[in-house]
This record gives sequence, structure tokens and C-alpha cells, in this order.
Amino acid sequence: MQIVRGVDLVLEKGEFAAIMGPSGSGKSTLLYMMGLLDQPTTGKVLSNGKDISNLPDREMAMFRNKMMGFIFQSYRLLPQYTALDNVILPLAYAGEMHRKEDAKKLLEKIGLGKRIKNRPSELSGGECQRVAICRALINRPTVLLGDEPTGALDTKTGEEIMDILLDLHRDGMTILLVTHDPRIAKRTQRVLHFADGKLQG
Amino acid sequence: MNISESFSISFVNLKSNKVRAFLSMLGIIIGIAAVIIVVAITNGAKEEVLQSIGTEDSFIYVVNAKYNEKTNRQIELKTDDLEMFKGLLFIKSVLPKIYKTFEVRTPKKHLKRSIAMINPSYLKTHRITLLSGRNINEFDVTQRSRVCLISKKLARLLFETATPVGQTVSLGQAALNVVGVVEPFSNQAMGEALMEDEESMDPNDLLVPYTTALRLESDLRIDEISLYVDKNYSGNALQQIQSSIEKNSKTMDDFSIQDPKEILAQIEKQTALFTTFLGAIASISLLVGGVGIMNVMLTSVAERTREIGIRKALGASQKDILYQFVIEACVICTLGGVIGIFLGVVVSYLIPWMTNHKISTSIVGNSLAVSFLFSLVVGIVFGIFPALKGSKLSPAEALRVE
Repeated sequence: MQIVRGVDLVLEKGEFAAIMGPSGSGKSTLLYMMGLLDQPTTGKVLSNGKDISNLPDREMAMFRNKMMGFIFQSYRLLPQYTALDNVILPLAYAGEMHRKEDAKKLLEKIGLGKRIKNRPSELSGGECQRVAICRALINRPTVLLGDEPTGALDTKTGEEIMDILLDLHRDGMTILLVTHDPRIAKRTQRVLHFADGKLQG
Repeated sequence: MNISESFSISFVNLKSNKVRAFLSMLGIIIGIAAVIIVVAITNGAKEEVLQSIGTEDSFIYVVNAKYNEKTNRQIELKTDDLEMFKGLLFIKSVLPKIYKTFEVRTPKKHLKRSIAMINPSYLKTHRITLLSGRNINEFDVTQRSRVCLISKKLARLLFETATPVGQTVSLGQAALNVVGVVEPFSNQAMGEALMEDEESMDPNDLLVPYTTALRLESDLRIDEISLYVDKNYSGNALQQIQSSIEKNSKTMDDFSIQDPKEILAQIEKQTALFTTFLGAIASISLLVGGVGIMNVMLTSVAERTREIGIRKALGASQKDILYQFVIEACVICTLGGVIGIFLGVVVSYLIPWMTNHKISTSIVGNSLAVSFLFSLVVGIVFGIFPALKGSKLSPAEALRVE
């Protein structure tokens, strides 16, 4: 089954872009392929001109670990871990457990200094998404990929999350979001419209 | 990601689902405990027989009177018969044995007990510890001193004290002076558990010099004669005993001799058979336990698809996921193994106590080590298949599961 076809998308360094489109249009699949979570049947994903879509599993895992930060609509935190341990997890896979303090600092900076020992079930939606952002940032990725990161949040909390993302963008982070909320898309630099597996220009 | 992190991950996961982890261990726990208990019972039975046919440094040949088919009568063993074997140098001790019980009386208590007829070396050969007082000596034997040794257990029953040395106990018509308190080997392990056991028929509760004991009643009938043959003796002891009987102008038609070496060979054969049988049962039970673990791990892979997706998105490779599930299975099995061993050892200790010493047990160290290794192997073998399945999931597909 073809979900996405004939898409040619270039994301510049330091750019903040949003892909908009109705649900089922294939915009998430495109994001997942760019994040190496899904394999394109044909076509390539290039990073700095290098084809990264056909790397061996181990290298692909390291790419996801070091270069990409993911945030999801339903946060995707591990329920059995505390907020701090969730943020530490990418460090474990990177073999950089000595940087545990950085995880704490990140959580403090984002305003969750007093919640680091709480589990996701004890946190509000906004707090969970902020933990997820810290987790995405801990390995200092080059790209932040968001799959409807405000989709499960009320308008006010969603705006707060967008404020954080805009701050990150000001600091030089490259960000690509998938959303169907025009108010969210409006706040980014560049909006790509997507329908039936194609970019609408 | 290194091994210690993989371990901490599996511990976190097991802790977050304790009930399921315990249920999946149950098969292993029961399997291992069962193996240890049954091996302990078999070994206990073997040791009990071994104790009855020998001591540390000697084999016990038992001489009985037998029904003579030629004369159609059965002789009775007499005190004189003990003398027949005195000339054989490889025999360390000759002791008579009687099965009948005697009236044992003190001012406070009155009960029936069987007795052991002993010589000075009896305590050492039967691994009986002298707690207080003195052992009997050669003088007591030759002079038929009216003395006796009693077990701590019997001392408490008869005198309500553990130190009755110097007091007198009436045995049939005779009054014997208690010169020492002992603790038979079989009671040491059990501690105080059997204190109130008035029905015990352990002859080692009341030990009397055999010369004294033979005079307790006139015309006392001996039930059997135990010959303690040096274990290092290389000649044919049985033949020499038989010829010694015939030299004393008696006929072997009147006697039967139990050859401990023959019994030993039989036990070894039976134990080997039983062990093979047990090994088969153990393998089956642990296999079932392993399948239980596999089932749980498979369910857990299916249930935790989302977690696998998240971990892969965060940088876990196929190998990391594989290790995580294998280690989890191993931790479950090892933990189950340790609990199973603990349970098995505890129950093995309780069985003699619960069955009033009708069943004795003796734990075999090897059975602990082997079952522990086995549980680890089960963990690896039955953990790998679900782990492979989990590690191959595509992250995007795994993440789509809600």
C-alpha cells in the first residue's frame, strides 16, 4: 500500500517547519520515515547529503539516538520510570550515563525541578510533554521531530508547549512538526500542506 | 548500553509487574523445589540404610537365628554365641541386639523403651555425642557395672532436667546409675523439635553396657548379633564368619548372615535407577516451567510493543531489545531458582519433623547446583524466542499500537 509518494522535502538547518493535512493523509508516515522509524519502499532519506535510509540496524539506532529527538501526541513516556529516568533513557542507549546531572538540569530548566521523582501517571499532560521534550533534547540532537505534540493538550497548554519549541528554535534548533491545528502551524516559519500522500506546494 | 544497565532495566520492568513476574516464576519454583525435595528424600532413605549396615570405619554383618529346615526347629541366640566371633581379628566389636522393650521408671515417670547394648566404642562408631558425664569403659563391661547413658531427650522426659548424671533409673528389676548424657546424631539436626515424643523407639535413647544388659533378665533372648567388621579388611569376611560358626560345632543351617556389601550394591543400583527416573521427571517439570516463562515473555512482548517502539525511537538497537528480554527471562528464572532452592531446602528440613521421623531427608549439594544452572539455561533458551520476536518489530509499527 502506498501511503506517501512523490514527495521531495528539504529541511534546512535551523528551520522551524510544520506539515499540515487531514488525518490519514500520510503526514505522520513522512515524519517517521525522516526520523528513520519507518523504511521507505523506494526513495531516500538524506542527511547532509548522505543516504541514511539503508544503514545497518545498529547505525540507524545510533542516528535516532544522537541526531533525532522525537515528541509524540501521547507523550510516549515509559510508565514504570520516573520523569528523571525517562529523560536518562537515551543516555543509557548512548552509553553516556555519566551525564545524568544534565537530565536533572534540563528538567529544572523546563520548570519540572520538583517533579523529577514522579511517574508519568502522577503528572499532567503538559508536564508529561515537557518531560518528553527534555528526553528528546538530552542527547543534543540536530533535528526535533514532533508528531502532533499539542494534539492531546488543551489550547492554553498547547500554546505553552509551542512557546518552549519557539525558544528552542531561537537557540538554533531545527524543528519539524506534523499538525492539523492551523493555530499551531501559523506560529512556525514554513507550512507544508499535505493531502493524499502528496505535498500540495 | 552495557550489561549493568540492561539488568537495571529488567529489574525496573519486573518490579512494575510483580504479580506477573511471580506467576511466571511459579513453574520454575515448584519444579526446582520438587527436585530438591525428592532427591533429599531418596538420599535420606539411602543414608538410613547405610547407617544400619555400617559405621564410618566398619561394616555391620548381622547374624540371626534362622528356621532350620532339616531339623524343623529354630535355635535361640544365647550369650555364649557372642564368644564364637571373638577370635576373628578383623572384627572390631561384637554386640548383641534385642528388640523387646523394658519398663523404664523414675520417681516421676514411667515408660517403655527399647535399649541399645553397647561397648565403649559404640558412641564413636554411631556418631553419638557425649554431652555431660562420662562414657562407659572396659571396666564397666567386664564388671557388668549397673550404669547407663541416656539421651538428653529421654533425660528431660524422665527427670525433667538435662543433667541427670548421678541419678538412678530403674530398668526392669535393676537400678542403673546414669553416668552420662548423650545426643544421638539423628536428633542433633532436629534440635528440640522432638522433645515431647514419648512414643519414640530409638534404642539410642538408653544405652547400657551389653554385659549388664544381658543380665537384666534371666535367660534373655538375643534377637541378633552385630559384627563390626573393619572396613579396610580385604579378605572374605563372610566366609570367615561362616567357618568360625562351623568350627564351634554349629551348623550354618541355624544361622543367617546379612552381608552389608550385598545390600550396599543393591542400594547403589536402586539409587542409580531412581536418579535416572527423577532426572526425567525433573527435566519435564522444568520444561513445563520454561514454557510458562516463554508464554509470559511472549505476552509481555505483545503487551509491550509500544515500549519497544519507544525504546527504538530513543536509540535502542535490535540487540539492545534482544538483551533486555533475554536478561529479563534470566532474572525471572534465576530468582525463581533461588526461591525454589530455598523452598526445597526448607521443606526437606521440615519433612522428617512433620512425619515424626518416619521419612528422613538428606539434602544433596549437587542437586542445588544443578537445578540452579538448569533454571538459568531454561531462562536463556525460553527467553530467546520471544526476545527475537520483540527485537524485530519495526519502530513505526510498534509506536502505532495504542
